[in-house]
Amino acid sequence: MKQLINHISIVLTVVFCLVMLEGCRHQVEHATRVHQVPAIYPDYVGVTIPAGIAPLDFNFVGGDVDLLDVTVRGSKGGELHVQGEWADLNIEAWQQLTQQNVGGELLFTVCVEHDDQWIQYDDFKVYVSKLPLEDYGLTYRRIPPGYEVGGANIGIYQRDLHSFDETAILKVSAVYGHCINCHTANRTDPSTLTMQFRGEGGGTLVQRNGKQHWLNTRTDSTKAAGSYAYWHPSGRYCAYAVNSVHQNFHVGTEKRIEAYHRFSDLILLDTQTNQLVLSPLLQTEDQEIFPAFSPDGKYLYYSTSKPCNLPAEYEKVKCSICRIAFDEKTGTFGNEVDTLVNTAATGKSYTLVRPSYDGRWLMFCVSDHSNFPVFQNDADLWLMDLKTGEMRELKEVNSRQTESFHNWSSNSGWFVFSSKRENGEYAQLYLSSIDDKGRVTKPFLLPQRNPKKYYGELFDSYNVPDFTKTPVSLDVHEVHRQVFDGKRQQVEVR
Amino acid sequence: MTILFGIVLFCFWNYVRSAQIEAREAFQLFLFQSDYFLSRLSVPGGMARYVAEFLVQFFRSVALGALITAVLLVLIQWLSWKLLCRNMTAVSPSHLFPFSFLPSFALWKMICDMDVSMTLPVAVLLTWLLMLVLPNRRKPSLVSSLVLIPIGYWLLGPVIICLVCCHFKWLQKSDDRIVVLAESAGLTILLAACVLVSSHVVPYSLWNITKGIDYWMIQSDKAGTYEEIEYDYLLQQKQWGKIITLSEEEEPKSLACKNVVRLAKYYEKRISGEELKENMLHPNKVLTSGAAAMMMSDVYLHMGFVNMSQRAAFEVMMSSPNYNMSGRELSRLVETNLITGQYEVALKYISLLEHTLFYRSWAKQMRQLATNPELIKRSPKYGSLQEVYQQTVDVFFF
Repeated sequence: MKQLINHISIVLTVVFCLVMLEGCRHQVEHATRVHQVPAIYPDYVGVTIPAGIAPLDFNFVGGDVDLLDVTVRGSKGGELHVQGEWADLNIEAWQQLTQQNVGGELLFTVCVEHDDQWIQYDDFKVYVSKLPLEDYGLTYRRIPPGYEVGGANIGIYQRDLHSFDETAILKVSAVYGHCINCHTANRTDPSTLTMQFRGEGGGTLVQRNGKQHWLNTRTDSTKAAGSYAYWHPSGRYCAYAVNSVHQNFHVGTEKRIEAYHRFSDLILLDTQTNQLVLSPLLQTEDQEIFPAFSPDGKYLYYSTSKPCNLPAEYEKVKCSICRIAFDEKTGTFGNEVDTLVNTAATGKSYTLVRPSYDGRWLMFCVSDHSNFPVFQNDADLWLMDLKTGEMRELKEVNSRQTESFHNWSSNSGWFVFSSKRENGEYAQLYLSSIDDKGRVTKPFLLPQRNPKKYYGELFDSYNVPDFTKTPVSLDVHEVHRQVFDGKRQQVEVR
Repeated sequence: MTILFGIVLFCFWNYVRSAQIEAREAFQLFLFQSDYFLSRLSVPGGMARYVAEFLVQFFRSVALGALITAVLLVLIQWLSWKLLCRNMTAVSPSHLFPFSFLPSFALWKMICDMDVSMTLPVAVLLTWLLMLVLPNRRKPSLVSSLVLIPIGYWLLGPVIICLVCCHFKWLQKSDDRIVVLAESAGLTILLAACVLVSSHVVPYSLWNITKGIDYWMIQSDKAGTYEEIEYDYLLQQKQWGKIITLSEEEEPKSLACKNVVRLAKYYEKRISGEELKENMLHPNKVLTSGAAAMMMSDVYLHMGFVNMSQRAAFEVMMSSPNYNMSGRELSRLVETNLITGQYEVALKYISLLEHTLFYRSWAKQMRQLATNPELIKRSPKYGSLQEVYQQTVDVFFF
């Protein structure tokens, strides 16, 4: 009996709380209609999202607001209603709604209350793609923009794309005095991972199935340790650029930073034997940079530019896209280089080649000059159809500011890229989808809870984003021990 | 005696080490925000750090900073005496009194070093308070310690080991010494377990966690030498005469300080504009520390090199010894972005500064400029710098 009374009292309490909560809600009454879509941040109007993505929380930025009332209705059913300072959508309810409306639309009705007056804006749509996004999330580096000497607390993070959870994989605070960069998994699979550590006792980390291997990839035959990396699909080989990167700062208007490389070559690491495979065609006087294997592993794509007097002639750094054959069985490169996109024809610089994993597309950056597009305001994303060889600018995703650092989802239906479109200084991550006909959808900013506050107060730029199939596991204590222990296995040239 | 100690401390910080008081404030940005509070609480010792940073924001006034530092050290001395009297009942309080100064003297010496944060004295003070509220009987004290060690460790950091040490006093008072030893060992293991477990949930090395995440700066020697801090202080005050006098007494070692001396000489009309520029434009050589970068950000802005000033301000933010932001340099970034016309970026920084106590009103003024850029042209400071910036011929700095 006593137990029953307890249960009843709990139920009554819950009901009372729900009634009280409902009572706190303001009913939208006598709303004035405004025939325009609401000004919201981020601009999610008309974007296409994958089912199961984190809720598209947004803020109203069209003026002062006391309360925001948002109703989301699915074209295939389901409804979600929230009220608050910003559109704070419940994760579970949102997930259910997007799953229910795969291939359909979500209709957003936004009402705003200010000084006891309600305004209702025109509804807007968000499209739920049929293309699934099967990966767990994203990995990326967060780094304050525009510094050179200092030791910023940069970090490599992972973000669950189905929620707002972000965790640090590794931060400089754990390996102070070192710069961490170029984290690269094999085709979004983090069980095969490489990462670079610069600074005293720096080295190359190769992690396979949780086991860390610490290497010195600099040899007498190579000018530096490996940096920008890309795995061969087999997971045995990893291509690295070896270079010396610098920054110079402009004093005049328009531009602020110019990054350049004093030299750059490509090397290939056989992670089974810890031997380097070198090719004279990849170690020329030219600057070979940003390697990427074709999905079948038969070619290595990269960018190359003619030598010039740097940094004085920084505007002469113009890259072409090339490829060289690779034989996985013998671990050797071919004897000739194909030029896919030639800078001589257009005067533009083509960098950061990223083939889709289904072998259909080649995405790359185009800018006026430079082999480091992230600091070029005019850097845009372009796409080449590998079936036809045709290429086009991705106007659907480009802006007047920098677009760069793109990567493909494991099923090649989605891509992530960084863009400085918001303020020209801080790069943020956008996601977009592409179908088999090459139709690209309006990109959407990586969702955050209370995004205006989050991005407004974030002091970091996002770079080197990539999808990750599963969460990345890295033993930070072992990393710390290895970094300060300084013992590195010396790789040898085959 | 305690009052006299306090007066000496105040005079020391207010007159002898005033530059350091100001420098401490310059290397942090305390925000009145729940997120900021929670981010501090997310690592061991976070509450001590939060309280310390709350106090350090008042260091913008040197006198107030000196007073707070003096009060902090005096309170530690007073609590030390109380603890000594309580735990060493066999010894006369008058004999114990001189020993009560030892922790404060040690901390005084330590915080003269910019690599030691104000979090340490705050953590000591709060730990001393916890020790004072421990019951004066062994078993209740043990039970309290079992609760206070994990909580205290998370809030105050590894200095909570003093609570463990405190338990050893029962060795004198109890006949059952083996049990006391076992209890003390248990408390030690408990603390060690807390440290180990925490090392798996926060992105810091075990060594950093063990020595206190914010007691000692993670990046040592990043703040700058005292010479740099002193020159920076004088530069802030625009005491051109004193800067020249100081350099004549002893030539500064730091390249940034030498540049400040040249700027002072320029303002005192001892050198020309061309002489001022000599060797000034070698950022890689001159931005060697936080204080050096702070000075150079000022110097570059004095010279009209807005981008260079912005770059140096960024370097300060990045070379902060404990990865804190800098309120002073964030203000500089607001200024440079207003001048270069990057109003969206300026607004981003202004939003942060509006969450502070001392930069808030200034940030609101800057918001007016960022949202009404035509007002910048009419501003005597920013208008003229904007004009200079727009006429600057673009060249690299090598």
